[in-house]
Amino acid sequence: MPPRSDTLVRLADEDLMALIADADADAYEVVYDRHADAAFALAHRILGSPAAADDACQDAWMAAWRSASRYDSRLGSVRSWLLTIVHNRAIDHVRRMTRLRDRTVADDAAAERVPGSDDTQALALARGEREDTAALLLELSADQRAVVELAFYSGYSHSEIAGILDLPLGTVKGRMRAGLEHLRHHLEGAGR
Amino acid sequence: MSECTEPRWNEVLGAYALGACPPDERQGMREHLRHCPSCTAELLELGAAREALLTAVPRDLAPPALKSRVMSQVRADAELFAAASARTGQDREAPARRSRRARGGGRLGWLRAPVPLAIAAVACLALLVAGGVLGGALTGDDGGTSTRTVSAQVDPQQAPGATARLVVSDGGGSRLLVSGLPSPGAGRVYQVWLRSGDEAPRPAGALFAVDRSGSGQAAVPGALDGVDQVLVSSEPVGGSEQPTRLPVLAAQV
Repeated sequence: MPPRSDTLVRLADEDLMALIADADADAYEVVYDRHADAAFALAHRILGSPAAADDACQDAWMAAWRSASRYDSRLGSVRSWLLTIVHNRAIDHVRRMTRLRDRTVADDAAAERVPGSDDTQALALARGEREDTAALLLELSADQRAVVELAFYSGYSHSEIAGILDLPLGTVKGRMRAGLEHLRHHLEGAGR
Repeated sequence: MSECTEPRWNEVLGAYALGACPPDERQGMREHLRHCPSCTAELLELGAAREALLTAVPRDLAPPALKSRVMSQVRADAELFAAASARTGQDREAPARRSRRARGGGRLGWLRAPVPLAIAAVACLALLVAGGVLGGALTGDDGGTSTRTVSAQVDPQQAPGATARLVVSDGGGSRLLVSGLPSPGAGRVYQVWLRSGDEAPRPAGALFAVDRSGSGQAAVPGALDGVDQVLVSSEPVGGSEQPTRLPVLAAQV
């Protein structure tokens, strides 16, 4: 009989989730090994720091382990479910860091050192476009890419983005919708 | 399919899919989606693009130390449940557990399930959950300080027959009272944790032991403003920075 690990690695993610819901740590390790790099890459992309990504991923992986029984294969793949948990945790970290930074600035009565709107825009976009922007995002126009990145990877709300980019709120919402529609059509055309 | 009759919600679908709506608008959209098949269908279509964004990032490698920490905690959880199952003589393939899993509980689910779900699962399985009325609260006035008593949910596998209640004082200095709790184990104590929302539990600064009858109490320092749950787990003497075992009880503040 092959070792149990050999059997587990042959199982699909969805089958492993049924075992994990019964607290099977070996099954969880297989799922971890399959998706850990993608999860870390996503958190790193959002948080911009390996240490912060490490924290967010640890939170996310423990949350996934403890809520595995809630995974519903009808709502999407295990990978998407896991990465959505990582995304949510990383965005929570970003927002906490932003609140902390804002409070520190206020406490120090150093509001004059806060970058002006132009600087804020440049910083936000630099964070959004650091490193090699993935090819998929290059399918978007620059205007669409800016709002999609600021929302999805930087955790800004539509009204915050309108302020950062100095655009009407309706324009921001429209670009978000158009950007997602464009990506959807591209994915369909690519057979994904 | 009929068109959306509330265009203001349709306009915000893209922002909603990207997680860019503020909380009140997000809640409003969820309400709208319940009775708008047109927007629901559009949102599902946008979901493919959203999923693709999850992996449209530069490649990276997870540090090996992260796996060590995660799997160490996961295996500690699993061992605890295996030991608890052995003590209570549970059949690993018991239909009851499959039923609980189907309802979204699972062996670990009670920790995060909202109270109504936990009640439903417990009622369904006729499991003994100590603590009386889950989430029930009594209010009182103690010398000018408002207090209320919250019954805690106890893990029936770890602590069958145990009860616990949390006396919450709005002025701070809440107190946790337990009875029938098993020994935390050699070289271990019970540690109190505070959890807000989905954040990881943080130490409350309270450790306690129980006597032979399983009775004990702990003073929880500070006010519980913003705290959603008070948890207790068995930890090594001196306490831990984060739980190393699954909580034995949880009180919804």
